[in-house]
Amino acid sequence: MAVPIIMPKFEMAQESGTIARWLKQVGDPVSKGEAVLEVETDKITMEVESPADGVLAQVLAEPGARVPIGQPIAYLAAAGEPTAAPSPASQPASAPAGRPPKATPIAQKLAAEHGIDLSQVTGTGRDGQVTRQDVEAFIARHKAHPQADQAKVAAVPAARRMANELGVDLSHVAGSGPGGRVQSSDVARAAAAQREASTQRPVPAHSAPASAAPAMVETPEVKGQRTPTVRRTLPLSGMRRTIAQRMSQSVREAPQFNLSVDVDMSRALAIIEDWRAAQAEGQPRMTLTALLVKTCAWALQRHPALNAGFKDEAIIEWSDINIGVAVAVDEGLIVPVIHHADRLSLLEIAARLNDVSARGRAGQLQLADVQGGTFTLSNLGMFAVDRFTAIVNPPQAAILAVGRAAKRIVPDDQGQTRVAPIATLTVSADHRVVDGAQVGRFLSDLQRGLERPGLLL
Amino acid sequence: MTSSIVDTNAPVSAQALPFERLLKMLYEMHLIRAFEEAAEQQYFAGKVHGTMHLYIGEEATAVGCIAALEPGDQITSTHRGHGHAIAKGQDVREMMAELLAKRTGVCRGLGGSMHMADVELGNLGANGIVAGGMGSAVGAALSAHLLKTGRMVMCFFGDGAVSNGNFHETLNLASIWKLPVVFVCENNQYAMSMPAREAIPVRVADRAAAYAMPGVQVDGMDVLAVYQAAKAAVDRARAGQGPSLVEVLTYRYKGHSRSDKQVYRSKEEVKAWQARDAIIRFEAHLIQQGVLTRAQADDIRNRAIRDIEEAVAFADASPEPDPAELLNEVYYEEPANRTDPAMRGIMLRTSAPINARPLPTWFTRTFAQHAGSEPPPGERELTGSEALREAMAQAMEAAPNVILIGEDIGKYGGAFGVTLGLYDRFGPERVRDTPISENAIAGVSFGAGMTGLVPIAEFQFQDFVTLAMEQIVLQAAKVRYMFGGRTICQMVVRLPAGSGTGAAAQHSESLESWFVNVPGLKVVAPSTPYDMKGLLLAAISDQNPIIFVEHKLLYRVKGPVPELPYVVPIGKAAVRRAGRHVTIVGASIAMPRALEAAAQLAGEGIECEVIDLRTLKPYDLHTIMQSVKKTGRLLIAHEAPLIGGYGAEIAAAIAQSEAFAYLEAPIVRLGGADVPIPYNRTLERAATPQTEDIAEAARRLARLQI
Ligand SMILES: Cc1ncc(C[n+]2csc(CCOP(=O)(O)OP(=O)(O)O)c2C)c(N)n1
Ligand SMILES: [Mg+2]
Repeated sequence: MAVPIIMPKFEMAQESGTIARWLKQVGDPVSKGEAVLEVETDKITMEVESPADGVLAQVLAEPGARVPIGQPIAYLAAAGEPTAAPSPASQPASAPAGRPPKATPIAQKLAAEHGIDLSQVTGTGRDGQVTRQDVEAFIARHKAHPQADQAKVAAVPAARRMANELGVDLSHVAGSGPGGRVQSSDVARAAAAQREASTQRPVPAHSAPASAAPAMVETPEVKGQRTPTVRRTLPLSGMRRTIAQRMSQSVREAPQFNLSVDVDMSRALAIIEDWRAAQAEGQPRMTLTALLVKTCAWALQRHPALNAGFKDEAIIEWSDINIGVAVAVDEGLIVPVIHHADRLSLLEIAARLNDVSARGRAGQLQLADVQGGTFTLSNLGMFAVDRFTAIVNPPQAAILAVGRAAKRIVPDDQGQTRVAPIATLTVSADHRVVDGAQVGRFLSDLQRGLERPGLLL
Repeated sequence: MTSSIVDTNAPVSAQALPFERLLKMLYEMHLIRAFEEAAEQQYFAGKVHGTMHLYIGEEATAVGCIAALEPGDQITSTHRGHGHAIAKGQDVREMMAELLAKRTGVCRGLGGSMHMADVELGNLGANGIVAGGMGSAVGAALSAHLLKTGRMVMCFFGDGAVSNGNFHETLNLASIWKLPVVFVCENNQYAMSMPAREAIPVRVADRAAAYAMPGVQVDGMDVLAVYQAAKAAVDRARAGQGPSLVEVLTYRYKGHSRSDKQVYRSKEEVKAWQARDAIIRFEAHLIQQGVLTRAQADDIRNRAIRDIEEAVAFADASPEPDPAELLNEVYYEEPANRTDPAMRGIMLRTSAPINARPLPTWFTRTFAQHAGSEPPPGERELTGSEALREAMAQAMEAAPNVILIGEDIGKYGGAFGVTLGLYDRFGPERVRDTPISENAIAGVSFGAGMTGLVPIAEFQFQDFVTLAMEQIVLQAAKVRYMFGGRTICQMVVRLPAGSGTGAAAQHSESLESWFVNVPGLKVVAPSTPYDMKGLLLAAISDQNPIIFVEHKLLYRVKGPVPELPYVVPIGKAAVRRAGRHVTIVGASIAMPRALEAAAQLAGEGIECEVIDLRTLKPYDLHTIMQSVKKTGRLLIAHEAPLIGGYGAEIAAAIAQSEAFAYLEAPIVRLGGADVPIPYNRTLERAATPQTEDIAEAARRLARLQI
């Protein structure tokens, strides 16, 4: 009897998963609990374990395919049952033995797209992890038939001619034409970049002299344009698709309102300075974000109405205080969670933050790292952003948006002016869960906690 | 006006002809029969590529009729034309070589059995189209009349032709113009399988009454009776009394063509006609009259047989044409171009730059004073129709053989007033109003253009050219090639074209793409008054048939036009506006629209290069290629229907050229929708590309949104 392997659900809001790669090939024996494939969601890459002992009999989805949760993606056969694939004995000797090398999700995706066996790629990342750059370099090196590959790229004749003349590999050129079609201007840009790069490296014999300016066809500077020129069109990747889906859902379904408060950050910043000054070698770097997480947790303890969510026509108040922190990565945004932030010291919070943002940037977050948030913090204070509003991250009821602490002239208690670093904090909240007064009280406590950090102790 | 039926059993009529003429006629009849019998043998031997229509049994018709002509007179012939050619004195060796498709053939192996014409000798055309030669006969007669050559034209056609519109149109026209032409209907009782008695409800000769000309019926098995009837008709015409119709009752002994199983007639019927064989009767008559002895008669026949055997030997020994010469005779080429390998054969599309093409010899010969090729435009402004009129007037002034022909072009000045005033200036003989006979207008022009006149035919609307497609497409376009390059056809067909006048579906078409598809025609479509004059003079000077497309909306557009005669070279495009972002190619009405669109787009930062093709065939691929290599984007616009339009040819040619590798976007074409032109103004506009359509397409192309 064939046993199905289904696309598992890892996260609350997950609707589908993308096959990252198969760790077992058809015909391979598998034992219950052994990793069979890796599945990528918007945030992380997960291994899927075999539900039973047997032989991988049939694979229903190729790497890159997005499969709705609950749908079969493979079938196991009991050992000895016929399978659709060759017997293990006839497998090529080069089949990877043991665990495959680690690779970032982007690297895996790229490898899958180009049909590259990751075990052939040498990783240069941390612990030999294969990065996108590694895969790209591999592609560039191992193109046995560049012409055949170039033919698959959508490129206008002029771009092909120019690529040929300038020795540019079209498959590496991002197209700016309709549907991502490569235009000659794209090739010219790529060639210029190539020339720049090659000033550090020895110039390959076949490449055009750096002085050869390509005969470019011009695209007019557009005046009085009616429809904007498309530079490029990017199909939604896993992460962007999830961001698009969840943010649209949030705006569509949650009636959101925003409340702001100005906070004098003098003392908060002083504390950070003190921590940094006292920081020992190997200790985690103290950040304002850590203090913000700490303050939020403190304020949420006092206002459980904001440590809440909206799900299935009900308001849920959580007892755990798990604060998600938005972290920008190459492809978009991830939100690792600092669980039980209310129970952690400032230093512990800083340590956790350092850890998850590093792993997040490297694409190494585990599902546990991103699950279970009850409130979200988005700090854009490192940019020249004075204030902003964020979109509630469902099912959570509230999100805090923090702008930079900028020097402003403010009245002091005596009615005199003084200069102080002021930051604007804005809470966006789901009106189905909380009302203005509740948020107002929460904001007041936030302000209090940041202006008098001693209260947090 | 008709004579009574000749008694076909009576002895051959006596004629007061010198002995040697009679002997020559007998020899010619034998020669025709021997040729046809040998031709059939060649066919059986598998040496003939196509089919053939044998003249055996009908020898007396050709010999008797042509005996009534002077050597300088001309004939037109039919698909069953070997007999006419031999009677006219053509070389049987050249004829046999032609039948065997040899390079030494009278048409260099290009024409074959159905086209053994020898224009120089006065045979203006054996013709594969039933009734197809009748227009050219009237045209040649018009040349004889206007050029006062004193020539006669004898027009042979079968009983099948009598039911064709050409018969009516040409007999009518020849009669009202009193032209020196004799119409000879060879009634051999059948048109393929259709018996004449079933196809024609009256005697053919009686039809003459409808055209106010004499009609006689004569026994075609009596060569002297035929001669007598033909002579009377020739004498009448030569005396300036106009045309006649001679119906010759005759019979073909063989099937219609080689594939004919002859199920439509009995062996007895064939035998009955053979019993009255014209050669046997003529021989018997001459022996009985003491003109020759039996032995001498046998000598004549044997000489004819020997001459044909020699012709076969000559043909057998002759080489076949060289495939490298395939294109050489499609168009008349100026002598200077003929030696230039780049110019040899006409290039359908000139991918080499057209710089210094020599002026047409006819042009330099005709105009003592002229401004050459593409002179500076000068200050004086004319409308499109004034420019056309000036071109015609200057040509007519300088060359007395240039004539105008068409409906209401005389006092009325033409449907669009283009010929206004020319009737007063040049008179009714040279500005010839015709009845509503489109095919005859084309046919007469074709015949006249082969025989010394330079006719400019005007059609009231381009739509009506559909009624003249036979004479333009099957005759004028092909005559030079199928006659082995041994004739020219210097004629211009002016076609007021296009929509925008609310004239609806049958008066608004743009059919120019059709003609681009016809080998042998050049197609010209000017867009400015300057080009209208220069291209019309170039068309008049070009010794090929030219389709001259005049968009009606351009008649009233004004522009500078030099006073002196000048030419704009056929096949050379003009860059109307330089630009670096998009190439827009078009002609005729698409030009002002493209230029307006380009001006709009310039305000948006888009610089269009606008290329006016000016001639659709040959066309200037080189100029388009150069532009596309610069802009990387090509937009082609024309009013002619998009599907199968000439723009498709340009798009494909660019895609096949070295300019392909410079394309930044797909080639875009705009053309007429697949719809008859509607009457409603909004729908009419929507049916063809307007300025805004061109602007939008160019804009999207420039921004790479296509
Ligand atoms: C316009 C046209 N229609 C049809 C034909 C096909 N066709 C060739 S000869 C012929 C019969 C012509 O009969 P007729 O004019 O009496 O000449 P005959 O063959 O009897 O000499 C036909 C129908 C043709 N060549 N041209
Ligand atoms: Mg007939």
